[in-house]
Amino acid sequence: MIFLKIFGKLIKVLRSNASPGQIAWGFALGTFLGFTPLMSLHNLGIVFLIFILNVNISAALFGWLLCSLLAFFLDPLFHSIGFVILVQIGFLKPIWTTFYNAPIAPLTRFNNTIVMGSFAFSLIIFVPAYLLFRKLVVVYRSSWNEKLQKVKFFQIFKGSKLVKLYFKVRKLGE
Amino acid sequence: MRWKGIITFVILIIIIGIISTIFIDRWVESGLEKTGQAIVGARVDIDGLDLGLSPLSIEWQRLQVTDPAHTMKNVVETGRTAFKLNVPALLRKRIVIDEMTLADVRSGTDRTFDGALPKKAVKKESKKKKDQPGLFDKVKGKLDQQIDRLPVMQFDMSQVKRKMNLDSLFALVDLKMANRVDSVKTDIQATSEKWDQFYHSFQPEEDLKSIRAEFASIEPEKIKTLPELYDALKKVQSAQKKLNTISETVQTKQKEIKTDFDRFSSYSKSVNGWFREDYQKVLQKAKLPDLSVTNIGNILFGGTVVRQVNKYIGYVQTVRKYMPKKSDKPKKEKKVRMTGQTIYFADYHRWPSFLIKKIHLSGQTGSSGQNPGLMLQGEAQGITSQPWVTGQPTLIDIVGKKADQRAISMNASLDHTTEISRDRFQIRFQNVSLNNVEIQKSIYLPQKIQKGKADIDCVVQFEEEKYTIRFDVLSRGLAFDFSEIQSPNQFEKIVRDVIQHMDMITIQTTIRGDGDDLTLKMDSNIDERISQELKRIGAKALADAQNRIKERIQKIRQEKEKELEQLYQEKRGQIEGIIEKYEKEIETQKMIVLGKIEKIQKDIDNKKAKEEEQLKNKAKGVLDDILKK
Repeated sequence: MIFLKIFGKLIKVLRSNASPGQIAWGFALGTFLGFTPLMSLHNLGIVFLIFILNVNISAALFGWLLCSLLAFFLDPLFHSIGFVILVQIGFLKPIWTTFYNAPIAPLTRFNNTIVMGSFAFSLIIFVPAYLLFRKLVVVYRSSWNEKLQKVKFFQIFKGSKLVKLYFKVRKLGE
Repeated sequence: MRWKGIITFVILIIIIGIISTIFIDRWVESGLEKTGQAIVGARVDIDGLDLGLSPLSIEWQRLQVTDPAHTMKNVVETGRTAFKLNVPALLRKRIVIDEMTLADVRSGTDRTFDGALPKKAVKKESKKKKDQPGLFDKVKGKLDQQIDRLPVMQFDMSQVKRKMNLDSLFALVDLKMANRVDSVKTDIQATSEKWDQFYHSFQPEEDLKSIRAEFASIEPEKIKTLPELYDALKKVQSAQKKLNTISETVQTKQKEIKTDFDRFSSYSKSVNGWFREDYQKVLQKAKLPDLSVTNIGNILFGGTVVRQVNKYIGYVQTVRKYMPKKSDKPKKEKKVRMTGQTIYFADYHRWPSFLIKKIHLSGQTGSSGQNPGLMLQGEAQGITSQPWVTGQPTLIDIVGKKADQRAISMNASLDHTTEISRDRFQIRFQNVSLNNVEIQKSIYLPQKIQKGKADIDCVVQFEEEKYTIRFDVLSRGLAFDFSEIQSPNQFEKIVRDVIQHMDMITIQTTIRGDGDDLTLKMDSNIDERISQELKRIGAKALADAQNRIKERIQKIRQEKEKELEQLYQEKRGQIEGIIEKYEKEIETQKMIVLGKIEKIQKDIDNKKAKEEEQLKNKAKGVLDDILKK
């Protein structure tokens, strides 16, 4: 069901009235929520940004769902990145030590390799994710939308009882 | 900017805040219970936990820690407990409690429901433990192994006295001495065959014959001229060369033969060892008891003491698990999927992740008011998850007393502040009542002590991989219940008699080790008494039985040694005889050759002198003729 949910969400986002920029920013912020462990203090700030900035919330949710799934596979990579940043880059050590002794900062769990690694990774891909998703929205709206409607698989998929049931349930939920 | 978003966010935060306020007590309670359960391996129950926000504090009405060995009992139970949390430390994600008072602490209280963890949780925990087999598991395993390996004492002199059928006894034992002597004989045979084969290809007779013929043909007496003499000398020298080559081969082979056969003479020394080995083997098969003191203490009390010691080692093991030692630089962990690895940095405030600076403890042992136990009082300092941050070892000091002179004291110093962990744990019981105490199941010991008192002193010391464990027991005024021992064998009877007549029993156990090496030594005043008793009852019968076995093996030894010696002498004589024959012949020929050479050389010298004389005379005549003219 998770894949149906992701796919449904993607189509909904792409076909919404929001501008490509709003959608792409929403998606980029959603990647933070998805890649980094959810119960981290910095994610409260990300949620705050998603709420107050004029970004597409559905795109953020899509980004969160998609990246949560990817995070499971990227976990060892995050651990390695985090370990390098926290231990092996010597000149950063005084900064981390200051953070470690400052109030509140340790509550972010910045000294955990996966938190640090995933945060750094999200930060690196933040702008590329924005640009890529923006491009995707533009391309989809200009040429793929009509083509996709005609694709037999999509029609079957849209007409399947399972999907109809899913959308009905979702509507009830809304 | 989306103002609606801000309102939604604020509402969301308020909702989360309200939910948290409602459930925070339950969450903290559950978190503490789970942490406790992971350490103890059984249920930890906290009742009525309340998290106060101003000042930040925690209070609970009751804490129950289940005894993992008896899950219907609590190892510790406390009454109302309250303590403040250090807020500045908490803001830095450190739980620091400056002072805590645990009043009304009781041990051994009954539980209203079973405190065993569900099977799933136990499996998960044991799986975690399996991933980290350490020094303590090894020590415990080795101690158990040593106890399992101890022999079972089957001292029954009636069996010994009964006529031993040596034929059937020896038929059951595979005597190594006979087999080994036979294999030496095979080796002698093979060596002899090897030299036989050599003689088969080494035939110096023909060469010696031709040399002999050559010498015989040279008769210096018949040679008239000097050139003929030189020719004869050359021939003799050539024959001498041939003779020397054969002589060298013979000498080399003679040395090899000597080395080969000398090897066998060393076997005779090994026979003594083989004899002893076989003798012990037959003794074992005959099940003759060992009457020496060695091992009696281990056999009698080993199991009981080792199980108790393993329990105390388990405490230190748990401490080491949750109080790691200092490590210089963090090493990258591998199995950290979805959890990550926490990296610690220098702490300016010396606040570790978890620290209770001081615990004041008071309470009593015993589960009910009708049967009160010892009044306990004590202190624990520096309980922490990162001792190197505080730089102070954890110290525990608890004493318990009762009017009837019963006392308990426990102190521990757990120093994990450096890269070398040093743990010392001492527990001392004085005047402990042994009335109706059940003893660890043993085939030799009574099931129950009816009455008695004991002083127990146990010291466990670990310094990294080195360890010393001492466990001393002094018990007195003892009376035992042997009623459950059905038809005891003679050894059990002796133990029973000795124990029943002893007013005081002492046991001193020392376990020392370094890494994989472990020595267990146990002394008891029972050892000597039992040994004496055993000797008194069965020394003569035992000695007779031992002598009969020894004589039988001695006879086999003599027969085998005779066979071996005979074969050895025969084969050595044969092989060395041939080579000696050749050597003799060569020596004779060498003498002849030397004689011939000497004779020819002498003739050459004579001839030369004669010819010189003739030449001189001739020259003189010629000179005289010239002068006359």
